[in-house]
Amino acid sequence: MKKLSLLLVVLLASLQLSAQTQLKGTVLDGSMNDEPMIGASVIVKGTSAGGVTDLDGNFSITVPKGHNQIVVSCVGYKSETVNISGKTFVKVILKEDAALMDEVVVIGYGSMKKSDLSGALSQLKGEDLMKGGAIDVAHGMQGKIAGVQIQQSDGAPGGGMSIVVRGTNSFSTSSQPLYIVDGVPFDSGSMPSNGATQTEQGSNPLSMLNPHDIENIEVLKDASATAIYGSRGANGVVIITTKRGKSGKPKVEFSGSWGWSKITKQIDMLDPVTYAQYINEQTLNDIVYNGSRSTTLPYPGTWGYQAYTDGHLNYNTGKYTGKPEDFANPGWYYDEYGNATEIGVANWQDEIFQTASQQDYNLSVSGGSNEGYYSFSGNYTKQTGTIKNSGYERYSLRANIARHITDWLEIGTNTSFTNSTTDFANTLSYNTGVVRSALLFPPTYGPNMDTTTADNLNWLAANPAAYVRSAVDHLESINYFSSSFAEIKFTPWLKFRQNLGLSYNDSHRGSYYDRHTQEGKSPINGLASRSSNKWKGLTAESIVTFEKTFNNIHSLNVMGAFTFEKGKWENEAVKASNFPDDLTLYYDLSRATNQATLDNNDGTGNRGEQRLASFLGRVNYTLKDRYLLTASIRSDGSSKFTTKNKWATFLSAALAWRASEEKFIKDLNIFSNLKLRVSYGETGNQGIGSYRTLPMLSTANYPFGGTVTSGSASVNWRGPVDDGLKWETTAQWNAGIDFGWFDNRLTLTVDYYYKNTRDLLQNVKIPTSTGFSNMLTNSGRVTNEGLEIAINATPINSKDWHWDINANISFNKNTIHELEGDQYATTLWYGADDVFIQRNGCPIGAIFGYVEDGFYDNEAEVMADPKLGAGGTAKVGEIKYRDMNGDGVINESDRVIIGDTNPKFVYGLTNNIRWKDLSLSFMFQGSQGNDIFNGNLQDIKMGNVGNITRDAYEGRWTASNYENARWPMATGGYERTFLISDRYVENASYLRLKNITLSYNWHRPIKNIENIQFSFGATNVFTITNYSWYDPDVNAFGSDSSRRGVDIYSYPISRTYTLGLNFTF
Amino acid sequence: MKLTKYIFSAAIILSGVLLTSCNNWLEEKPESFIGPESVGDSEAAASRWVAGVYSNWLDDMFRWSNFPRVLELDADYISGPDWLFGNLGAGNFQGDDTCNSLWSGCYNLINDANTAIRYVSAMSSISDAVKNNALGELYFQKAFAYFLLVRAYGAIPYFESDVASGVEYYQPRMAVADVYGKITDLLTQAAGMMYKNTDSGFNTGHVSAGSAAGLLAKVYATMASGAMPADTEIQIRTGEPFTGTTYKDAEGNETFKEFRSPTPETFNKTVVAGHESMNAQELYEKAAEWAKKVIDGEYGSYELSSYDNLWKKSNRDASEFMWAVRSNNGDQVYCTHIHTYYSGYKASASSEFIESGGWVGCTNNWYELFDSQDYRITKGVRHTWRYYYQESYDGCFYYPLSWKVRITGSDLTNTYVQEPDPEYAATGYNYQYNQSSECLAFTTKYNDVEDEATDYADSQWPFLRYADVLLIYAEAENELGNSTEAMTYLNQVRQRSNATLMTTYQGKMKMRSAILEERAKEFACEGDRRWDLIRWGVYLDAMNAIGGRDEANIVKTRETRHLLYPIPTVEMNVNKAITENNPGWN
Repeated sequence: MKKLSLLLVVLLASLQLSAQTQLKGTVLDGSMNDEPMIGASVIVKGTSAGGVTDLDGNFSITVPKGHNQIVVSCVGYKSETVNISGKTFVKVILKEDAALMDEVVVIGYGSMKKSDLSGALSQLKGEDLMKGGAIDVAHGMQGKIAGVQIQQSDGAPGGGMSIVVRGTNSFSTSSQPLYIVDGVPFDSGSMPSNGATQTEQGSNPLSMLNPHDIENIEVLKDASATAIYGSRGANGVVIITTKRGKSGKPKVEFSGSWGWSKITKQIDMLDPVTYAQYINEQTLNDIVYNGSRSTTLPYPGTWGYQAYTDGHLNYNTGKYTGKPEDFANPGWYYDEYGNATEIGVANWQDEIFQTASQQDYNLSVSGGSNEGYYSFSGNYTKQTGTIKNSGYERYSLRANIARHITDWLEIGTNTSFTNSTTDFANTLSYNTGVVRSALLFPPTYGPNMDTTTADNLNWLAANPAAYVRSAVDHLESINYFSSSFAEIKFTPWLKFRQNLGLSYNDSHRGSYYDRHTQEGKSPINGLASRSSNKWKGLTAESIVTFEKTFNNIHSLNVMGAFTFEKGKWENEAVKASNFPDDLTLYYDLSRATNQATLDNNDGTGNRGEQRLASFLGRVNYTLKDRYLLTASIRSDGSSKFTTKNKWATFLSAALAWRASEEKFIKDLNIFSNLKLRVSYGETGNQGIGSYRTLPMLSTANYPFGGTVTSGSASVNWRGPVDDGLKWETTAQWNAGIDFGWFDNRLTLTVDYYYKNTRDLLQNVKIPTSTGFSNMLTNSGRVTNEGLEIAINATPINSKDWHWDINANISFNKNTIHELEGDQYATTLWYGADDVFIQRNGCPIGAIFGYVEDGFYDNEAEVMADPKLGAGGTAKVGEIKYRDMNGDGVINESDRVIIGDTNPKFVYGLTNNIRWKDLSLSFMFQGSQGNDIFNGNLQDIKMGNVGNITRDAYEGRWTASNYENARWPMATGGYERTFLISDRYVENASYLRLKNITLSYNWHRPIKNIENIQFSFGATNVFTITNYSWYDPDVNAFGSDSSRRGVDIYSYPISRTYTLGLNFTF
Repeated sequence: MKLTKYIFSAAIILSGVLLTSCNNWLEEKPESFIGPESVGDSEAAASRWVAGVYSNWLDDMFRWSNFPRVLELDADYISGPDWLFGNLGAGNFQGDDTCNSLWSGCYNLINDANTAIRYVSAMSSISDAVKNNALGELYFQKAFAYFLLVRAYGAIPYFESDVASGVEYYQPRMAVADVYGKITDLLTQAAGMMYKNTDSGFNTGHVSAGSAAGLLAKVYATMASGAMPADTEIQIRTGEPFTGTTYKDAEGNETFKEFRSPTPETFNKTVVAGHESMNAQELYEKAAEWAKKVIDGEYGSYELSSYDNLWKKSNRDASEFMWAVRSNNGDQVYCTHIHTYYSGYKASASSEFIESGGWVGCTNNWYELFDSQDYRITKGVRHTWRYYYQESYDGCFYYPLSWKVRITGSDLTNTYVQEPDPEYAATGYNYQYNQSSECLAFTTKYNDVEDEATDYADSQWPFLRYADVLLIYAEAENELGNSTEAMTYLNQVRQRSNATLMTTYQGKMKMRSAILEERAKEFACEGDRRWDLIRWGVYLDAMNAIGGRDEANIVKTRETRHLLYPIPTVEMNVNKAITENNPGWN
């Protein structure tokens, strides 16, 4: 019966409808060259009748009598109201709504309208990220966001990146922001070390993400935005949202790019002839100035013969040692007895560098409907390095799927799998490595020199050509990351969401240094290392959100959540050496005579766990769309601290006023947006390792009577334990103002902040006489004060022409307070102690050392100078250090601050210009006022067989060139000590045309292809800088904030040209 | 519908809560390491604490070859290549980290010893004998580390207990005499607590009661010699390496510079800083007393090994080695590089060629101190050896230069004058000598190892030998005026090496000098010479008598500041309780 009546109603209704006017039409996308618009809604004004456009943009609706207007709308477009009286067919073109497009931003544990935002947050869209053709996320972000300083470790493919949001808060804990991908913290664990050699190479967790997959990146900067992340929010939060399918017909997109790179510059080292002259000069100087008893020149140009036992020379054993001029004519030299010697030369940099290539392919299929959405994508990237034998390869797959199961339940998952492979060249290594070798190795040998001679020089550096031929350092990482959710709508204003994040990262690194490298030379006879790292993360978040507007003026959004996170890691590393041959590399360690040594100093075989539990909540209250209040609270409990300090609570509050909503401002008719914001909040940093509050004993064995006996002793590097360790807390004030003019075609955002970080977790140096050198404790305070300005302008926006400009500039001032005494950052490397001082009133990154004062030019000057302290006895031609405190001796108390690695400001400027289908985009980026500690110069000793720069040679002290001397006299001995002085500090300000891209869009070239885009781009086009080494954008110690701005045999950056092709179906 | 909604929601929320509701889940439980509380209370636990302290010698001190360099390189009779000797060996003590390793290594050991003492003292389930022996060994190790420190740095911070027990981190320098007081206290206690080497509980490789007694004798002698009055004379055979004359071959090319034989020079000693308040006579009495106790077997049984056995690897546990650091062949962590530095390693076990190493040797001045029949040069110095690069032309090095005629048949002007000795002629090698660091008097002490083709060979480092106790006894008796006793024990050591015995006592000064010289010969390449010169207050005279550079072109000129090592910069920068570095250092 019931069924029957229902049928009747339907029939009646259809009869009724059929009696009314039928309207057909097409909706076109004004922003996409009038392509058909799929899924636009068409509603008869004043009724609920209407429909949705189909795949071809067509609709067909029935218009009830008495209605003659329809409203056509689509998310992100301006709605159009169309008069249809008397029409049966209409064509509607929708235009993008610039004001609405940016509306929603992702914040911690939710999202909100941008206009309701009261904190400081910057958004970068996926398409802007991809401009310039970056193949990893961090490079794509560089220079594009105010207040975010992104530095690469060096130019290695797949190399490390460090990201600092609003200045460095801390010396010794991580200064890297928290990464949230699709709502879940993203951590890939640490990179396995290369056990066979020492290097500072780091990796970058973001390299595990395919940048093509990214929809938006939000960087939360002030405490109002980050406090919801509590104990991990102090360094800022980077929220990454991956692409979802959009309603409409399936979209298929393929893009490919191909590129070529070359290093941007070579270091000008001495040519073979000058080099040989320089080496001879060392010996001559030694005889004249240093009382050397030597009588022969290293490059004499003579034949030498072995003597028979009776003292007569054997004329069959002739060997020629060339004179400097001979190296201008390399080749075979003969004597009258028929002996031959080859004089070889090489430019070692030419031997290790090459023209590199890169390719990147991406395919994605996406779509969606009211029922849900899907998006599948795959990426393949391959880069060869500009140093031979290095490179990077990545492939990844992603599936983002969500479905409305019922009207109250939606479930979905974002899952990605990434495999990346990095072949490292040994760079960023102070004592071995390929770049070091290429620079220092004597050019008076040929690339194919006899290996025993090469091995003979191995103490200095390996034969660079042999190095790039044979050294292997291979990292393979697998990353699985998934963020899944179930969302239940209890009522329209109350919902519950359960997130579940799973991540798994497995990295394996293997390296092999054969017998022609410094690491593996005899008697090591091949050094292999294998290490692996496993990271498993689990995040569960239960979030309740209440959202309701009362009386149209009170809008309330309340969120409460309980979260739980667990990370587990496991790593191991083994080393083996003494292989019978170099054939099996690191693949079979059992072939080694010295098998699989576990090196307890490297923390081999290690597993552990960290856990975090949190309760959090936030209230957003908006009154009359113009008075905004946000307040948040988070309580974090961490396994890293003892019961004394396990739990900490972080609060924040923010107020904003959308003045542009006020009538008196509206009446001015000047501002399309005007918002004032102020916030205060506290965030924490718990960026220390697990178990740091527990004392640790290491294995310390001893072979009594030749039998190894187990022993235990303290771990010296760890220092004594402070069980009162607690969170670092950052209190931050932020005041900001957002302007919009001309319908938001010109916007300006200015933010001022002041951050005060107290209870710094730091490795305080303690006297080495305690048996330890440092202790992890809370001490001192750091403040950061800064200003960020971001401007977006669209000066031209017509049908044929479009020009927009994004510019940002950030200033930050960092100051240390309340330290008990001066502290020093960890030694950079052997011979570079105490380079970075931590002193009250100075910034983190202040360089400390001696000031030079010319040279001792003659004996009289030596005699006149009583300051013969540091570096031994003063001598003619040696560096004079300045007696800063005037006490008559040169000693440690004469050291002063000689540099600062913090920039005065960093900036970026992007221009996008379009004429019809042709677009040009280019970006300038730079840094001003920062110094670099150029550690490369420390190997210019002017005193051994290592090659030196032409600059050092031309500036060396000689009896005739003492007035212009910049480097001491060339000598052969080892007695000279260079102190850490201003010699090594260089200004690293730079301005760079980071990238430029020209592209052409070809719409509908053939049926079924919507668009083809051709592009040609170049990155690192030019750099204006006074920095003498490869590149000023270098940071050898990666995320170590206490040692920022060091250059040590970095991988040079390269200029890359790319061709891109993009198909959309 | 509604019902499912709520059931479903409840299920999800509940699962979230269950997931996280296990007890104590914010507590840390280490999985891959242990803390001190986990070591336990047992004999095995005590042994682990003790081994952990000894382990410091290997990892870090010897492992990175800062040891024995830091003890050895800065002395008059030692030399080597300039890259090795350029800093510490040339007086540039702050040029590299070698000096600092003595500081950090010893202090690391001291803190570990203090920790171990705390935990072993608290043990209740081990016998007193075991406990006392363990504690005695720990006292010994701690005392020895302080002895090395106080000799090198003078006044130094002294830690009664480990830092985890709450002791002040910033310790000021304790006066030299007080540090010595602590050292002698510790050693006196240790001597009474440890097993004798004849006890059943004694394990080879460990120090024993006799080690403590013997070291105590050496410590007292060190204190005493430093305190001897400033006008005390001492004679050292030394001088510039070359005469200035050069030999030339028939064509007028220079062949060799003429070595100058060392000549006896008499120096007036200075009182070692910090020893002013000490009473040399009393201290020598104590030195003699403790040495005699060892000699008389009161603390175990000790004897000199025969020369031929002395440096054999099978002899490492002989009673003569009262305290030596042992390493394990091929081990890359608990290792030494002694064999590499003094002997050089080969490319393979069957190879006769040295692949690398064999850098540190003694100078001509040292070699010429010996009687020609003394085993310590006939057997104790390497006479022919070959480097890998000599293979292509059948080259071979020899030592000394004075053997040129015997080996090659030619004299110093390269004129062929006689048939070479048949044993050398038979090899067909092209024998070479050059006056650089390539041809020095290289010791054979560390040659006998399990595997000659590794950088991690198992040579042991002799910190204290019975011969040392005998010579200390002789020295003390001489200063106390007992000439016969002094001569008897000096001759015990000389006799073992086939040296001509001393028959007539030529006075205190000559005897004092003879004993010091005997020590230079007996303990060459054992890291002893610098410290003998320092404690006798003749270091500067001995070094500067070389006249600048030695035959391998190493700078030997020294100034007052070289009497003490500089306190490491890291300590100076951080330790608020130390305001001044040693004189001349910063």
